[in-house]
Amino acid sequence: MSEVSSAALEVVCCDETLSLLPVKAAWWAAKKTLFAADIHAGKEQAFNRAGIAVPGGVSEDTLSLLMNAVDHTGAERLVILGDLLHAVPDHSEAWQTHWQTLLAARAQLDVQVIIGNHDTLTARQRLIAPVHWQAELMEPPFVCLHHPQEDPRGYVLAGHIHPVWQLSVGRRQRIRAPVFWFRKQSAILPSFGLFTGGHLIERGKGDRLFLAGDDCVIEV
Amino acid sequence: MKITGQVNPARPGDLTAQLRKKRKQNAAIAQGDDASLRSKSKVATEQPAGEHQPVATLADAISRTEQWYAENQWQVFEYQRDTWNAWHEGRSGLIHSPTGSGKTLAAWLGVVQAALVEPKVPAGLQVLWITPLRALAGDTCEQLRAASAALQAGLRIETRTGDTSSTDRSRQKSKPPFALITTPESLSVMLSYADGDKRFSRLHTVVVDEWHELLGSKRGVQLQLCLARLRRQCPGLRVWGVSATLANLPHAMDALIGNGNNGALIRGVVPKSVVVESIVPRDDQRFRWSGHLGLQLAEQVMAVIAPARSTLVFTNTRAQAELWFQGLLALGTLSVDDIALHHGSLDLKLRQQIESRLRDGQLRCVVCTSSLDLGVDFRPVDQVVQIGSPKGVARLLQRAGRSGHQPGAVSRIVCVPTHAFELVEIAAVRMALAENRIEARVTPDCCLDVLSQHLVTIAMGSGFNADDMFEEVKTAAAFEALTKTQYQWVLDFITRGGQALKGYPQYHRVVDDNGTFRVVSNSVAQKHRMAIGTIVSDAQMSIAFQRGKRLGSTEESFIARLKPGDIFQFAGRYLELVRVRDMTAQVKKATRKRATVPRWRGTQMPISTELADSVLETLNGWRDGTIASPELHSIDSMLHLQQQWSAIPGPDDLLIEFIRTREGYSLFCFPFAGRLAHEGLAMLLAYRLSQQFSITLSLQVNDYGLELQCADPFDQFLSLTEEALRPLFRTEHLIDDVLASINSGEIARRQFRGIARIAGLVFNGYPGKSKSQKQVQASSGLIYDVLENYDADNLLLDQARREVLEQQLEMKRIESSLRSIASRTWRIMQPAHLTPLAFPLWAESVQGQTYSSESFRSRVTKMLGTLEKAAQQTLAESAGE
Repeated sequence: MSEVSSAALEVVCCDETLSLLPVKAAWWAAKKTLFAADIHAGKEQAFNRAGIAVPGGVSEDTLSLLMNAVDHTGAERLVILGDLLHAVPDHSEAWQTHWQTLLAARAQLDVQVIIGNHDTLTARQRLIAPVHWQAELMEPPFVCLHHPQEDPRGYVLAGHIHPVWQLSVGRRQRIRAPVFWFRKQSAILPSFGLFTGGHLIERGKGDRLFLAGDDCVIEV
Repeated sequence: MKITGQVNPARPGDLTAQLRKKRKQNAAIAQGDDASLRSKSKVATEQPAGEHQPVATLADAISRTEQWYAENQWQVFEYQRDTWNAWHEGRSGLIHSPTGSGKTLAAWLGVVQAALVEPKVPAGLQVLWITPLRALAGDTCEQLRAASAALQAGLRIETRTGDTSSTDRSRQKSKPPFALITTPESLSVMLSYADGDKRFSRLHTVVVDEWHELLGSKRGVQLQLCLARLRRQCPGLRVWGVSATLANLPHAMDALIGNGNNGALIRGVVPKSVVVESIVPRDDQRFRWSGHLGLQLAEQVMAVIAPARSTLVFTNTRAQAELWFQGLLALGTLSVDDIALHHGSLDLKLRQQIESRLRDGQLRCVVCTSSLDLGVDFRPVDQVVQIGSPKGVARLLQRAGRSGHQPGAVSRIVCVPTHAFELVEIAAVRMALAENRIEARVTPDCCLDVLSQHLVTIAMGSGFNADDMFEEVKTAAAFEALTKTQYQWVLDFITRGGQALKGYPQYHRVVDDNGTFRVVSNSVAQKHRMAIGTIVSDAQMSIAFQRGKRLGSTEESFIARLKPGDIFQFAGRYLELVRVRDMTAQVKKATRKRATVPRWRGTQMPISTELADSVLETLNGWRDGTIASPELHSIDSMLHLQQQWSAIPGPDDLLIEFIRTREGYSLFCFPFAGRLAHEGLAMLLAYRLSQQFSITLSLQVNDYGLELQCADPFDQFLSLTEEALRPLFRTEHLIDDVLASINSGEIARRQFRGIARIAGLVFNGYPGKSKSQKQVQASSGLIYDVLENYDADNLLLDQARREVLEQQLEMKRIESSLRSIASRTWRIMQPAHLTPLAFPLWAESVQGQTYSSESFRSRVTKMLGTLEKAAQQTLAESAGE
């Protein structure tokens, strides 16, 4: 827990406290729940199948990183806000067994996965380690979705966008980093996967932005 | 002496009037003046080739050629005869000669003469004619056809480019023409078909047009590999190149005809003399110190254009071309029908239309970019205007050569400065030209990305044996130094994705089939064929009117910044963005005329070493009072200001200025080594400074110097003495330090963009099918990061760093300038204001690199602090009102 508190940033949202972690996940201590979005496991294999040489091992590392975050926070529940998978995987892909091993070592962990646009039915069927797939998840006061949209039932936690923000000062100083994007009705998490790109967002009125750096999260 | 290319009325005489007329037209085409016969026919489609009327001996064929020349009152140049003879002896070679001097006929007629001796036109593809621009293929085809018809050779000549229809392509396969005009990329595609061997079994000659344009680029490297392939497949193959004058012609020839071949280097006609003039601001005009778009001199430029028959106005960027077109049009001297705009982003049809109007003498003025550097002559053009610095002597010559086709005429080029210091460059370029200091062009070395693309291409075609291929590749000059280890790595890369021990699961592109490397997957093959080529550009977005008329294309990143309703300048019009749909920006004519000018990311050429040296000498001459020119005179007061506030640098000085500005503290340094070398130097200095202090520096460069700006008040920075500064410029550990600075900066990732695309790591998708391919699209930056973390030994990363060193940063130039800096006199100044030399760097609006040895947290915190302070200041000011 100590590592979480030193680098993390606490945000109060709907009277609940969320800790935003530099690894690009959010920790809800009160419910012992960890949120992460857009893992994209199996992406390098999809590239390889298309004849594009991207080295393997990225997915395994992403999943290990996710489980490290679970261990460090002491989470009992992991909620993935969509796009756990990238494409329809083969059974033989190395990360599949790795994911299986990681889950087996944490048998008590409750893993809930929102179905993202990349998690197609065929893709889900090829995943060898079982997880609980959900179209959406109610976690009052939060509603967990993949696509960010307003929802009358509560404050939305979502992914999909892979938000990135650029902080500029004057004409010369710029810094670009993944961002936790808190809006009036929804919060969008940065993408967790190590092999995922980012989308530069436009800040709306009243939005709160939290930049994720290597060693800290800072509100800008 | 008569200049070939001048068409005189034929004498009345031996032939019927009709035939004479026909021949005259043909001859006109042969010489490039094909306006009279410009047909709308597609040159790829089959056309009757005329009759083949053989002769008994080669001597007869040559005398028929001479007869044709005589009928048109042309003279056979000695160099043309030399080329034919060398060709008949079975040799390869390189012809260098200015445009419009009959190079095409020199390279072509030997072939035609040999065909005339044959009783029947030989079957099968005999000649490949490679042209660097797709747009030139049609004109070249007409020239070659006309000459063949005039000599009654009856040769079938066709084109094959990316535009050629699949029906035409398959007919060309089943019934090959005698000669095929094509681009380097289309040649690669032809080699990717399984019947490549058969297709080229009769090939005896390859001619490469405008070789100087290809030589220094990766396209040229790709072509070298294809030529190595063809030389192996077709023993005795003759390879001929046609080039403009370069400083290193033997190298240019070796790169073309392969190592160790004894070629003929043939010098064409002596270039026309070039007169460099300039437009100098009037005494009462306060001339800008910086910027590159400036229209200040538009009226004076118009005064030059107005009396001439036809003028080409060259600019250095597309944005500048758009602005100047509007600026000149707005003066009202020329009507909309008299003036046109031409650059690479405009729709091909629009461009062709403008080119043919220019040829027909219907246009008084065309504002253009390097898009009109090449190609057939525009006879009516009688002068050339260059906006902004010409950047190099060779480029100035090339552009000047586009005018003055009348016999005895000189080429006249009028240089127009866009800011004050360019006046020094104009004086300098004239001096360099007088001393004949022309730049060299060197072929890039060991491009593994191009090699891996080529190997996949050949694996798709006939397949290859690893050892044989290694020998073959090494005959190309660009791969002379290729090691077995590098080659093995490339083989591993295309078969397994990377080195054997690294995991590239599921990867298959090329398979080793009992010693023959082949591509077996159809989808891999199809994707590869789509991606063949080495020109890298950003994702392009079409610009079209709502009703569908296409205007051209621009970078997606530019459109992405606009909102519907925004107005921008494009294709010489003011356009309003309506909406973006399916990679097309739909626009309508704007009613207001205030616009954003698209900023294309086109590469900015650095000033050449030759010209930069000449600039320093010119400044020195001004200081000593030994050089007087109207250009220097006009900026006399500015140069005095520079001298008064700081100093004027000469070839033996290094000027450094420390200046405090409202944005922070800046070090300006002026080595005059060109922008690329300055970028490397700036990174090196920033890296070495950051080793000593925890610091964030933003870097800015131009052709004259560099700026390191530090936003924090940082006293040590301003008081750095010569003793403290000298070690920053040391040559020890140079490569290591530059590499270290590259790794921590953005620059290697940026360079990797091109490499990733050529090597097939980034796939842009099929046209019209973009969505289904989304799953395998990732930015090259992302792939770069993944490779760095998971396969750090990947040689493509190594290549990216190497390319950054050699091409981006011009490592050799950095090294030589550091050596020269060490021996110069250092003048360290602390001017109270931004000086005329420093101001353009400070005012540069393009974002430079940032270099930091501070942590993320401290950087962001400081930036937020600055914002906070600014906000409080604003609050305090408004409270005080």
